[in-house]
Amino acid sequence: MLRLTRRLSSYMLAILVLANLPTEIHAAEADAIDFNREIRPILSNNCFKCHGPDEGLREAGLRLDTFEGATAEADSGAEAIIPGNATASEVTSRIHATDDEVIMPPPRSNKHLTPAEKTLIDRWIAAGAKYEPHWAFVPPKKMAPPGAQANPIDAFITAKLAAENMTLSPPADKYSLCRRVSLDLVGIPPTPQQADAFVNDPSPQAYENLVDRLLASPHYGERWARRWLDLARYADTNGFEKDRARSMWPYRDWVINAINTDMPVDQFTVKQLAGDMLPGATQDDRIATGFHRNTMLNEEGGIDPQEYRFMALVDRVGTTGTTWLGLTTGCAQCHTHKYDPLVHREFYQLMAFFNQADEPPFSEVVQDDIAKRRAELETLIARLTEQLPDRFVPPAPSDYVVLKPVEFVAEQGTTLVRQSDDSLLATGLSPERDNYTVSFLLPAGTANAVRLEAMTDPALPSQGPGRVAIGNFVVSKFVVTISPIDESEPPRQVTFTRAEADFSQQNYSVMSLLAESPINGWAIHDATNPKWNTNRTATFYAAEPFGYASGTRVTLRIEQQFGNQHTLGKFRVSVNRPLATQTTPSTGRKAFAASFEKWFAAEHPLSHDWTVLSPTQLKSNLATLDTLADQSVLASGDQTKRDEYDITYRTQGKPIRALRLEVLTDPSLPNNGPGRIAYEGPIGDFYLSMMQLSVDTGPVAFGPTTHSFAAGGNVAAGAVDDNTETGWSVEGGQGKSHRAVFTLPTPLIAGQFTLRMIFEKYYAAAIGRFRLSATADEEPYTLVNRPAEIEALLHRQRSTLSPEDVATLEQYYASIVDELKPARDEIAALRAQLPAYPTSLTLVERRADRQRETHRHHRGEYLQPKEVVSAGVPAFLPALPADVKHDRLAFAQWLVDGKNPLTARVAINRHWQAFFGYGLVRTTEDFGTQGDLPSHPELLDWLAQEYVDCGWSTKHMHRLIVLSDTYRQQSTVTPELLERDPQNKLLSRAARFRLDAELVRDVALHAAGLLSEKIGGPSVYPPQSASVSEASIVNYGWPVSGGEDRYRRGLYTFVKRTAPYAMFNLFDTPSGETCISRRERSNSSLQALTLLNDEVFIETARALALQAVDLSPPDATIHIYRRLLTVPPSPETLARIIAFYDVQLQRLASSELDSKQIAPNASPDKQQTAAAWTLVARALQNLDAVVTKE
Amino acid sequence: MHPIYQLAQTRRHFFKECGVGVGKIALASLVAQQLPSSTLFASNTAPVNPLAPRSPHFAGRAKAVIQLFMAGAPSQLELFDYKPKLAEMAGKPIPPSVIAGQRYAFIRPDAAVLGPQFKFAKHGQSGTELSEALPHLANIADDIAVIRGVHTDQFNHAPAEIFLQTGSSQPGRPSMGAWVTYGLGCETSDLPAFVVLATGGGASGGAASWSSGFLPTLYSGTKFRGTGDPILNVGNPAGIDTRSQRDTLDLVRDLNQQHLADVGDLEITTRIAAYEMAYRLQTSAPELMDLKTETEATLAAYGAKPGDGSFASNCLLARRLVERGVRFVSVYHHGWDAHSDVAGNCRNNCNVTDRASSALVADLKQRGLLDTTLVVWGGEFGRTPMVENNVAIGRSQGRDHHPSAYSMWMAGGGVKPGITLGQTDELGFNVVEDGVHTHDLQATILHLLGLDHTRLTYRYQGRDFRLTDVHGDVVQKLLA
Repeated sequence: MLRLTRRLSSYMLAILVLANLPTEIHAAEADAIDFNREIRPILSNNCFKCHGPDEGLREAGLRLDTFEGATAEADSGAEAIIPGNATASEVTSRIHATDDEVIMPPPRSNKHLTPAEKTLIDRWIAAGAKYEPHWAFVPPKKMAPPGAQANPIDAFITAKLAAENMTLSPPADKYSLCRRVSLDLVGIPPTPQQADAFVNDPSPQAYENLVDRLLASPHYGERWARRWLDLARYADTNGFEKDRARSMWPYRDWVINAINTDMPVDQFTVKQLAGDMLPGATQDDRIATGFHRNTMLNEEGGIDPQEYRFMALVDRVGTTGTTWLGLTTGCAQCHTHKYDPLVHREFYQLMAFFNQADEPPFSEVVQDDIAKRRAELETLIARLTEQLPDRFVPPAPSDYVVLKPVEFVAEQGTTLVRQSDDSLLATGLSPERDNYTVSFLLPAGTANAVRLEAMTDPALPSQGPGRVAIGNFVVSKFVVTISPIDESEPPRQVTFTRAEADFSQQNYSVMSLLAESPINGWAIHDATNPKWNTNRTATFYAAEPFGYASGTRVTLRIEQQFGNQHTLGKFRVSVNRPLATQTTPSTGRKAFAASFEKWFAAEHPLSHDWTVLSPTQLKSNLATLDTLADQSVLASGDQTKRDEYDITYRTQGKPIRALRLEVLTDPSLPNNGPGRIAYEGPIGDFYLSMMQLSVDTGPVAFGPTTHSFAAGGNVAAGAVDDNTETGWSVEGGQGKSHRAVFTLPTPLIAGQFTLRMIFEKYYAAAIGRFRLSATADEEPYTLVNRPAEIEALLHRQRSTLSPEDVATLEQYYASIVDELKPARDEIAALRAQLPAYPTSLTLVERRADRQRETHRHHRGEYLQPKEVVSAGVPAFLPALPADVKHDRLAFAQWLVDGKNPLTARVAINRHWQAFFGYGLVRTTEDFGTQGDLPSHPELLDWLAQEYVDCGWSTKHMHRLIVLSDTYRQQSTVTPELLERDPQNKLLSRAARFRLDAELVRDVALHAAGLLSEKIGGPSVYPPQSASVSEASIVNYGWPVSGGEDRYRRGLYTFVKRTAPYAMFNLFDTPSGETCISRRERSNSSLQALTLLNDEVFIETARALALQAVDLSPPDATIHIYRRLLTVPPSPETLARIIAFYDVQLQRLASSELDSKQIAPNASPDKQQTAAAWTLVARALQNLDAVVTKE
Repeated sequence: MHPIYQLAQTRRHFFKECGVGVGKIALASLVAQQLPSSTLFASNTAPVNPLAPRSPHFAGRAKAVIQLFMAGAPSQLELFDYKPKLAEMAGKPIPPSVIAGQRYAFIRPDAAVLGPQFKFAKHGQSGTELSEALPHLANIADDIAVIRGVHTDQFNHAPAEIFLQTGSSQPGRPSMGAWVTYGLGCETSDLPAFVVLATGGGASGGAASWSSGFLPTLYSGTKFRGTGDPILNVGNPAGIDTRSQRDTLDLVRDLNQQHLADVGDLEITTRIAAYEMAYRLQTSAPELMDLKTETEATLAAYGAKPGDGSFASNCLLARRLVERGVRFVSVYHHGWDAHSDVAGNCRNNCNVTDRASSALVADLKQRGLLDTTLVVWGGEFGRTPMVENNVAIGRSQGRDHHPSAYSMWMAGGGVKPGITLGQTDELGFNVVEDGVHTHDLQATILHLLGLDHTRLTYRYQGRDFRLTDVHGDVVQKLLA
């Protein structure tokens, strides 16, 4: 391509261009041309790409984005710009040239200057070619508003309108205003009642009160969170081929909450970018760092994990630039920015801030209610575990005596009827929940167990024993109180230490009834057994025998609060009379102790003498290896598809006949380890494909190998067979420690040896934590099943063991001995009921001594790292404070320290866009030289400075905006306005534009009275065709939510990146793959089909119709219309709708249309009317005004 | 009377008198309003139909594209690029000098060589060399151009599919179909401009492969469903008949027009038109899908059975779509990812695709549509000359992903027929002559449509983006 490099003689050039030069170029008055407004856009658009900041691709040695560059001598010797002398300036010659070889911009660039642009350049040069800094890089100045209006916004807007001889439009009518401000602030329109209350409120404060009510609404946070989530590229899946679900909603809820509490923007920023680094960081601060964990993860087979980590970093730099700086920093990934003064190296200096964070697979979010329930259950589990030996020989079932109920009452309407066998049958009403209280009289003497029999009966649904349709029940609490019949003592509660059932449903173990506030309770449904409707028994064992000499009144309280008729249908109660031989309660423990001693005596001779080895040197290809206090090695940091560890040990003393490799759990590892697999493969597993042992003189061969656990054929021997495709893994055994023993046919003599471990798989698969021990014993490999510390204790003489040692061994023995298996199974079932904490993704800053190097990457390519760069901010912006460490936290604080010329402008401009449809700078994502200029620069600066001055309060700014007359204008487009201000750049009217996708659905749900008000929690799946999720290669399905989750606000809909929720996709919701600061607002026939025919909108139409079915046609019409549009219909509109209704009703009455299909939700006597109103509601949902804010 | 109301009245008259034939009436101020710096549209508020047919940059040969996307990456060594040297070297490791610096998904770079699994022969007057696994393609050998020097930057499915479709390996950019409809609009308003059909599973790249990226959503591909109505919600809800639907649309239109008269926003005219188009779509979609109207001979040639949702039916549908003026059709067939048993994989996939792909070209030719319809057949990358064997994950006699050399074919739309372009080294490892990078392929496809890939741009984030990023050369040797 030809550039100024071509060395034409100036004589020739003169001839070529002379004919085309304007005959005379007048110097304009110095201030007549605004460089930023008039000249820079021309230069930027047409010249900077080759004559701009990018040194690498700069042509002809000419730089036109600075005065110095433009007036310096170019490679050709010519001066592009000679200030004050346009005719002599090379630029003038070139832009006026007609010869394709000479003209600038050259034809191949597809750029052309208009004659007006050429004249402007000429005049500007003639006037001295004055350069000015780009407006957005100069700090905003808060000038006094140019008018006396109460609201400074109005002063700026009306001043500009006045200059055009225009004024604001008249105020919007009150209904429109009420709907508009409600949609803007909380995203939900007012109900007709709310709107009427506002319209009829004569107070001058009425509007302000409405605004304040909306700003205080918890739905405000939902509305504004969704806009922020566009920037955060929030999604509930991780993208690319696998696009697996991941839990990010705690981050989403953090955003909602932060906005609801009006968290100042500086905090809001710092927490999201570097919350983990704040002193005393809270859990919430860490959750906030989820902002940058929304980047995608490629889990496709065979990817290079480091390449995709790099891609995520690139995304973080670009997203940070768009979100906080309004800069297209992403452009500098491959080369110096073509337009803005951001050099290539600076992109990677920004990347360096983010490059020191690790990205754990997830972080648990501890929630108080779950923590409390877990603690209760864990206490119970600990107690039960501790008591295991007591149950070594379970008490033989003894003679149970059925008790005769003397008093029995149900609280919620059930009628209990005593049967001949002394059982109670529930009859009559079948309430959702009920609590039964039954009293019995126990003759003198004691008992130590209470048995509850749940019994079937032909009278019960599915024969029972419960009353729900399938026959199940849930006993949610079981309390037994006793008192002496002679009332000599007050009643007291019986403490049960154990409960057994002949069957407990999964997650509904009878044991849970022992907890103070039971989790779930006891239920008996067995999905695997078709004949599960049978008698079931639960027995509760008291801590000590109970009963009084005078006889005992026993009162049972059986709570059944699960709901949905999960109550007992028929039951009977008996107590156990202890046998004389069962007087010593310690029988179990004694028997256990005896059994333990026998076991110890048998195992001790078989145990071996292992010595834990301390590594002297740790090396790896990439991972960080650390030795812990117990001499185990913990891996952290980055991984590759072929990780290698080289661990050196030095030994003294006996020869080594075998090595034992323990793979250990650690909370820092995925699924607690022992492996590091975090994507693609089994999470927390590893794949040891090769293990080699060498000494100075060469490799050492391994002999027979054994292991405590292996996944299928992936045995430990596979790691030492010279085939990298075979190896050891423990899939299915994650979260537990395992061991392998490798024998050495030729004993290793004392000295130094190196163990090399290779983990090679199509995903990163290293061991996370391990420890090596050695033994000189012969044949040590037969027993590797027990943990190392047990093995060590077993190897000691019995007499040398301390009571604590014995306790440890006994505990281990209790965990393996056959006789206790049923008891252990019960505990395991209870453990499975531990409620899990939700998880979220966070950033964790690396230790100071574990910093990564960041490189500049040639052409932005991962595989082309060049020189190392240090963290830093672009030179054209204010510097970082010199006295702080240049890390992520410092960077975040720098963004919001009030000195950055961009941050506040960019933020307030996006808010402006949300209210008015467009920003004051229309390119909200680009404040650089290629971006649009602000329509109202002084207003933008005033707002930006006000944002900082008010303490970064977003609610303050929103209040300011919506209280302005500018905001409160009507949105009507008159022909005059269309002519004079076609794009409404002057704000001569209010904005009128289609609602965001989520709100289109929210509005319909709200009108129908279906919209759930629930805030936060896991994302939900509203109904949609299964075919939508088929579009992605791994179809995880779309499990349509039930209950209120079917009708949650749009921002809670599960965001699946590769197969987005169809309705939102069609209405321009971003897919969560890139940072978006400006949504499209399209208008298509596929949108029309959705609003007309989609299941969601049919449901809302039906629900809306039911609200109106008993009203007269005009009232029904007005009701439906106002639920959707707020404002009452005009008489003409009313008539038109009723005419439609009449036609449809007639067709329904004549059975041309089937009411049952259209309104299946209505009762038969009202079905025709309901169907007709359904058709009306369906039509009205499609009105432009319904899906539009106006 | 308010002039806008007059306008609305005119439209109303138009709808009343002309039924639902909204065809090419002015549609949207959308682009002008949303995208002041768009390069294709003037910055004014005149309603512009963003999907109205537009002139190309220069006279192109092709009017429409049918892309037969062989997802998973077919083995070029079994189908198009015969390498006897591989048979000679079978079982021996590939020389280290060849593989330096190469990254693979599953295998080690020093894996052994695997010989070609099929016999090859020359076909037609052109003598195009093809595998015995492609007997039907052999019959149209003189109509196609085989390109043996295709290469890409990506070696994993999702990024490579997205790269081929959007010019970038990361989701977020507009897909080729979106660029083409943005550049040329569409010849029909009764069907979507850009249609996506698929068999054999979902796409690795997901919706990003037919996304409009930062272009307006209207340019997104519309994914037809495998079963039931082709377009989501194109059928009326239960109980609502055509007349009731028409009544509904009349009510909506009347009230919208009334509102237009009150508030004057021309966007409402766009919405009114969109509803009329939706109504048209409700008729045209079922008509399109009804393959029973095809002759027995045609069905037999493709191997399609009405309603079977097969690749063959999709090829036939692609022809019907193009006939009706649809601009860009992507027909995905998944299942070529032969990490194991590459011979069996090719056999099975060729059984499914060979007959229909070839029939499509022949059918287009017979109907005189081939000159104006570009057919592109191929996957996101190729497969290694080395074998993939791995007992641990149950793989044997397969081939891994190979980005540096693979084959595709093109036909019609101004492509030179009966040629074989490009050459790889004797192991099929690298391209040695006439390489065609993904961006070159994209530039060429646009060129055949009359679009200059350097001029088909869209301003986003301050930059004029292109399908070909900053690369790409039109492959002149492919042009007829």
